[in-house]
Amino acid sequence: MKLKKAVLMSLFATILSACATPQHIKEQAANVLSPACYATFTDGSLFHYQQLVHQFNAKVVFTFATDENGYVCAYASKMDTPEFNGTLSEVPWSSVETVALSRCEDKRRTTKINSPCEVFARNNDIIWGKKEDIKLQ
Amino acid sequence: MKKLTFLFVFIFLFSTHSFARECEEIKKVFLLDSKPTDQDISEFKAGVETGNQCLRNLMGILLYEGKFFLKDEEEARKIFYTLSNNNYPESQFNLAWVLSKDDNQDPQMVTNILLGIHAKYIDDKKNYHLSSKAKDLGRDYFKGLPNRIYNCKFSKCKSDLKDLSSDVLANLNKNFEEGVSNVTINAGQKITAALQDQKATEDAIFAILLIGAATYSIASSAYVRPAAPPSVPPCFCEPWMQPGYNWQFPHLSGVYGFY
Repeated sequence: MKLKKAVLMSLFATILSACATPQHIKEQAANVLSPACYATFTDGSLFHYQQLVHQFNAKVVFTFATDENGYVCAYASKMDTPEFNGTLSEVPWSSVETVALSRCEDKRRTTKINSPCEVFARNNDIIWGKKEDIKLQ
Repeated sequence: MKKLTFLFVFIFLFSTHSFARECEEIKKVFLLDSKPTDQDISEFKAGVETGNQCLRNLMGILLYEGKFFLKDEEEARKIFYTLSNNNYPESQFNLAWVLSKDDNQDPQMVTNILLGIHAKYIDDKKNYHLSSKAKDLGRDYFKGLPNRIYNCKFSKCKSDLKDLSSDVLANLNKNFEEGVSNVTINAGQKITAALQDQKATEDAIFAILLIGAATYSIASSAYVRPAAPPSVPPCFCEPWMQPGYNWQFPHLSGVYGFY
C-alpha cells in the first residue's frame, strides 16, 4: 500500500516537474514581467501557460504591456485558432500571436496603460528585446 | 489525351515551384554578400527582363543599397512603387520602408502606408511577417522622428518636417498606436469568431449524429426478431381438429401462433 502511494506521489511529482519553467527562463522573465504576469507565465497547472507549453507540438504565445500606469498580460495557444483541428496539421504562429495580442490589447484598453502590447515569448523562447534590424524585403 | 493533360499540369506545377524557389535562392545569394555565379546573374537578368516581380523587387533593393549596381534610390523607389501598384506585398513594404527613411516625406503619409500594410497582411499567413514588420517599422519611425526633426532644422529638409511640433508628433504616434490596436483586436476577434463558427458546425454535426443514432436505435427496435412463440400447448384432441398446426402461412409468419 505504501509502495503504491509512493509510486503515485512520484508520478505526480514527475508530471508537475515536467510542466515547470526552466530556471534560466524564470530568471529572464522575472527581470521583465510584473509579479502577477510572472506568476501567469510560470503557472504549470492544467490548461495554464506552462502546461500548454509542455504539450506535444505546442504553440503558445505570451504577450504583455507595461508602463508606470500598470501592467496587463495575456496568452493564446494553437487551440484558440480555427486552424487547430485536433490533427497534426500545422497551425501558424501568426494566428496564435494575433489572438494573444488581441486579448492583451482588449485588456489594455480597460486600463490607463499607454504602452502597446508586445510579444514576450513563443513557448519558452523569450523573443522580447531580441528585435532584429528591419531591412528591405 | 488525358495523359497529356496530366503531364502538362504536372510540368506546369513543377516549373512554377522551381521558379519561385530560384528567386528566393537568388535573393539570398545577392543579399547575403556571397558571390553570385554566372548562372545566378543570367537567371537574375532573365527574370528581370521577363518581369518576374520577385526579381524586379530584388533589383530595387540592390539599386537602393548600391550593391552590384550604382546606387540609385530614385529608380529603386520607382520599382517599388510600380510593383506596389501591382499588389506585390514585399514591394509595398519596401516602398513604406524607403519613405520612412526620407526626411522630405510627410509623416502622415508614412503613418498611413505603414498602418495599411499592417492591416492588410495581419490575417495573411504567407505575408504576416510584413504586417508585423510594418508595425515595428512604424514604432522605430516614431522613436527616431524627434531627432530627425531636430537635425532637419539645421539641414535642407524640403518638407515641413522641421516645423512639426511635439504635440502634432505625439498625436500622430497616438493615432498610429490606436490604429495598430484596432487592427489587432479586429483580427483577433475574426479568428475567435471563425473558431466559434467551426465549433458550432462541429456541434451541429455531432447533434445530427446523435439524432441519427437515436432515430436508428428507435427504428431498429421494430426489426428486432420477435421472441420465439411459446411452444404449442400439447393437444390431446384428434389430429383432424388441428387445422393450423404445421401449416405454413408465409404472410403471417412471426405472428403469434403462426411460424
